[in-house]
Amino acid sequence: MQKEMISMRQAFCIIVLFIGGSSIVMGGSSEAGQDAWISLLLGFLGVIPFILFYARIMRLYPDKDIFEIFETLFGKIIGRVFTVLVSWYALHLGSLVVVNFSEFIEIMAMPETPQLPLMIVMLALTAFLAASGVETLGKWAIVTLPILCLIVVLTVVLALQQMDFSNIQPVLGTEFSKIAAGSLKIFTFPLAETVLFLGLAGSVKRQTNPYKLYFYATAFAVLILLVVMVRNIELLGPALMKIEYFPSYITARIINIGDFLTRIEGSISMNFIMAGITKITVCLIVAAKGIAYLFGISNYRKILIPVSLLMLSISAILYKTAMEMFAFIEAYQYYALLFQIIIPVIVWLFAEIKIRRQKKLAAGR
Amino acid sequence: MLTAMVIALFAGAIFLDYIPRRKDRKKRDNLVYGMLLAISFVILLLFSVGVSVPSPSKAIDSVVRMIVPIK
Repeated sequence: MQKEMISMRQAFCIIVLFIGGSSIVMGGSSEAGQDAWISLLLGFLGVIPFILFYARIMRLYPDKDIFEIFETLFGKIIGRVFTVLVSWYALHLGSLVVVNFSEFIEIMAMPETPQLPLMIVMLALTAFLAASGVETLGKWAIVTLPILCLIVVLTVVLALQQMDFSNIQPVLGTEFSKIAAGSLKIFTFPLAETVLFLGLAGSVKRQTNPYKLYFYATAFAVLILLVVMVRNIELLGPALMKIEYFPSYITARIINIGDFLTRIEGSISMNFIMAGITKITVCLIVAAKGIAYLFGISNYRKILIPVSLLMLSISAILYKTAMEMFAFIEAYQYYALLFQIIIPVIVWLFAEIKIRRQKKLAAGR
Repeated sequence: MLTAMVIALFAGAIFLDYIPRRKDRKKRDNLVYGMLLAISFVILLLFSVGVSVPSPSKAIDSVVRMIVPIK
């Protein structure tokens, strides 16, 4: 079977949409109040070394995805343990985004509708996209990213008249511990979640510079999140931001241009759907690849449907209420460190040692 | 209603994806396919009839709270 390949531009768009995923609508950390944007920038500074680790892993093994790298470095048994862990993370993260989506629809638009049908629709769409392959996902990302940016810019421009710039003051008025806590949250959700992109790394064209790819994509996504966050703070104020589950949606709801252009919150739902679909699809492909690799199945597409149904079943049982969902973020920021820091750093160390040994051996011959 | 939806969903997966393509797959692939399908079917069926299935997030939350002091 011919290997699927995506260009750097497509990979860039996938990563940006992946980071945007649910965060564009959930609006990022709110505990730092008006200084949430500082938390975002600190989170970005914190994630830079780790995305460079991810990029380094991509550079050391350019044609391999993370599961092949596990086996190359650790052998079959330990490699499979890592494969199980990363596949689980992809499956769980995908389920979390599906629940974010269904909770969003239930809270904002359809309070009487059970969440299961909403989840089925979302997963059917993502399974279709995943079954079409990574190349199609790349094309989808190229088309949707400009639309997402346009919507963000449009909501900012339309909201300018109603913005209260004093909402963002006093700068650094929040305790630093709260700002730091917010930055850890942003680090784990969503910035370092890009570790899952290593599951698609084998599909990125060889001539791509992984450092540039990871850095610029993350920086661009942070820029979008920064604009979204500052817009939300200036329109809602820090107090309202704290009590809203989906501040971006509420922000768009209060935009009112001369009683002529109102109720543009649908555009925010569109953003969530476009970025959410990309994030779930990446998770689905990585989970299916991991499970296929674990059982020695040659092509992940063969088991894509049952993996998406498994993701659906996990989504259905994850939380009973939206409050549970938001409370889990507290534990998630520590749980995710295993997949976002510990495993990649171990892989990076072993990869460096192995490559150096191979170089020494080659030089000795 | 939800139960009917779940049964229809899995019937669709079996009749539209599993059966038509089972000859293209190896025996092991079909076994993994069936296993994943069975696990998700049981979970969703229990969920649809109102049985409380333990959430993995709660287990993760408890383990994390044992290790890290979270307020």
